[in-house]
Amino acid sequence: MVGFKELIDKSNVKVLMLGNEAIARGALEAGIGVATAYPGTPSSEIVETLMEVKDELGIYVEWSINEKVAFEIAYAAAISGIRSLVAMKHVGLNVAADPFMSSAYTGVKEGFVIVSADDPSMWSSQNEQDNRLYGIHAYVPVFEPTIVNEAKDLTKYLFGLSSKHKHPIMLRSTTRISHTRTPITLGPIPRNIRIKGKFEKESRFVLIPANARRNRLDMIKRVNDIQRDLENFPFNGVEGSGSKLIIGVGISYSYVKEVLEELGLSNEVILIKLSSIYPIPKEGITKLLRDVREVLIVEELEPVVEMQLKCIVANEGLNVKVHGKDLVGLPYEMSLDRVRKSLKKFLRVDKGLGEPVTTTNVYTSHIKLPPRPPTFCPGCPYRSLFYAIRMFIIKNRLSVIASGDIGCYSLAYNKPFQLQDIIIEMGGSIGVANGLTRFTDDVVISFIGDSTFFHAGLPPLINALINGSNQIVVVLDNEVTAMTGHQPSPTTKVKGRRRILVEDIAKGVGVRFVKVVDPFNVKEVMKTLDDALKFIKENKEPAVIVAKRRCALEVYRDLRREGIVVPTYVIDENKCIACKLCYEWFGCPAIEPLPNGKAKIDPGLCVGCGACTEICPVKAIRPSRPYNVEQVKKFWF
Amino acid sequence: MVLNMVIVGVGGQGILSLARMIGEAIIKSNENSDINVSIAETHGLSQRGGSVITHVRIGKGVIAPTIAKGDADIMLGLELIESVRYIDYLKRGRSVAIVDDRIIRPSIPKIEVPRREDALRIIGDTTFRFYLLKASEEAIKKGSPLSANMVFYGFITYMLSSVGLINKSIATDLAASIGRGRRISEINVELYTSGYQLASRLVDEEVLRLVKKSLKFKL
Repeated sequence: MVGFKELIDKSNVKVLMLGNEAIARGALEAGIGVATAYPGTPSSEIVETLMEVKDELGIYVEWSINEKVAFEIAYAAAISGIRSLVAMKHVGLNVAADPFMSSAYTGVKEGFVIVSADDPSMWSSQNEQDNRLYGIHAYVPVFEPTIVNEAKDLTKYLFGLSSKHKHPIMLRSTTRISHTRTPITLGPIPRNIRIKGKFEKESRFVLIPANARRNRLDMIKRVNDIQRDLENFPFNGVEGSGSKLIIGVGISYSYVKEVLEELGLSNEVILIKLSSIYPIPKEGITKLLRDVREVLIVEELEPVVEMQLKCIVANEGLNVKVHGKDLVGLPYEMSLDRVRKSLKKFLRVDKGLGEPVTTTNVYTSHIKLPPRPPTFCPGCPYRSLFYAIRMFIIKNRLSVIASGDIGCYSLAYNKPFQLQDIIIEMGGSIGVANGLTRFTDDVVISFIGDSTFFHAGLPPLINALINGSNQIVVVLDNEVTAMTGHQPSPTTKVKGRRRILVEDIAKGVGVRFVKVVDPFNVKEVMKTLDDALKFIKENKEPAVIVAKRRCALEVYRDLRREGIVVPTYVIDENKCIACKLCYEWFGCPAIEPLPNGKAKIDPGLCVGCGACTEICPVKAIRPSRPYNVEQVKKFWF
Repeated sequence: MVLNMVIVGVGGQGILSLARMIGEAIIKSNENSDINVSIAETHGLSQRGGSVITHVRIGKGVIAPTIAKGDADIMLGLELIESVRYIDYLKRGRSVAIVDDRIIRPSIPKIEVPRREDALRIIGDTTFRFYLLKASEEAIKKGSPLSANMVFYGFITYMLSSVGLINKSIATDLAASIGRGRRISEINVELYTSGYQLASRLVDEEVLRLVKKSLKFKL
């Protein structure tokens, strides 16, 4: 399969591309010089893809420490005359909200596109906030692809629009756009892009009150100018005719279009394809509204277009009944089925709906299925760590609150560990624990990964020191941002880049108890927890334990590259005493129970990490063949 | 029109690669046609050994990215429990399932795993035709457990090339380009070939007619 890099000089060919790759390609075709991001599903592949080609194209691409800093860097480029892109998941914009708001006040000098990848249905997120509302809030115009195949060309166009009006623009994607692969026709990528600009000093960049008041008026004017331009926006469109109007907003358009074709009703209603979400092309839409009696707005999540449309109807005194959320529903992502149902109500058709799915003709199985939540991968160092902590809690009969965070370790919420009692946001673990230690009598352990620690964990750790929060902070350092697809974190060994260690930071800000442990070493982890518990009780201040071992997926990738084959492990059935520790308390996917209660290792899932040998009380687990353990161990650290 | 296919299984089984190979093979085989392919993937949290469904849509009428329940023509199931979990995506009595004879126990303590016979009965009851493969078993035997998806790729290549959607030699070249190292590449091609041959023996005209009907191809 052809990689993104091999396509740099290709144009006029059709290739299968992920939505996020298409957005990246569109930005390159628009001539960006700078792209930044902090990874987060579903946005990560945009900058990941640009990272692949940065050297070849001579552009500047970086993984920044968090979304706020990523935003600021891309903004710096845009006010120095270099086209730039910053990408983040929807909740990332909460972190970058401060500069985001201000960027609309100052405006920019060259095209600046902020990609917000939202996650309707919360496939990989803590909420499904609709960032189109952020656009309205900040006076940043918002656009969405209406068909996945258009993501590339829309992205490219938006850079031109932003450049023309010297104003930031938001491209809002969703999981189903970012993570859908469709054929994309490539255009040329300009070469010799400048990544050195010139910052010309202007008062608009200094948001002291006097300047901000003036900027406020300029900002309103720029957005009004953009709104006028949208009357001829090439990614909007009008199809069909009739007395009823449907507005397909963003990706919802694709569902509406397909259902109308399925019903053979394409020519009996007017369908607006709406890619410009805020502002909406007011004149064009008002004109269409004058000729219809009823309108249905089909959009995911919040009634962003519906509210704007209702304003038009009220202000213009139009006699139009506006439907939207009443028929389409508010939460979760769009589906063909949802659109079928709402169109059926809106168009009052009962027949010809293909075969709508109802509870009577969907075949539901009659057997009980076990749930299959995501789990720690075989070899994951976090499994051993949480096992050790769970054993420590049981042994000492402690009442513990596990203050959790965003990352693979969130999975410890599930059985058997159940060691994530609160997860709300990046960095929330240490921050919320600052309060829990004060307002409860439980032992509070906060869990935070290396990447999340650097993203938002430092201020709350320092707060814990100065305000005396006696929490045990466990930093799960697998030397990478694992959950989002292995982007580097400050602890990753990257050639030619400085490496920042969690333990150095903790000591540097003044933590007096800092210990580094190997999570596979269950006894050592339990002993260290014991010491930490004593320390926080005596000193009323935080203790930091850094559990350090690389992500297993990275380790096995590196081993494969070196051509080293690690044998799987086997359980000696004669030695096994059916204690169930390995499959009920440790929970490695590769270990299965046998009907007699003893355990067996599935060679199709075992990766040969050997972590289970540490927890087997009778040493019944061994490698299926001898191998050079020390040679493999090096890869883990 | 549209051929809807769901690929289901457990995160880490190579479901995304399988979907991508099918998509690439179709695009490369139809360079001068306006046939659209849409593959909606599951990323992030769902990859870590969780339940995974990928929506593959093929045809000139494809615009929307996902498949509604009750609309899928074909299921490629890389694991039995997951095949049953998503069974209501299939058109009842008018769909085809190709499923690996493998149960992966979710690693949750004290769970009850459904009986193999019950799972097979439900899949059989829902579909027009149901093929049970030994893909994982074969892949493990050959020493590349993650290559089980290649058997499926071979199987579906036979079906889609029989209705003129895929050019077999393009699909075979793609199969050979997957995987790091010569050994894995060779195993991949062997498994792909075995899947293709299996399908050429098992898939009958009635099944192909069903696929053609979804696509409304004039062949």
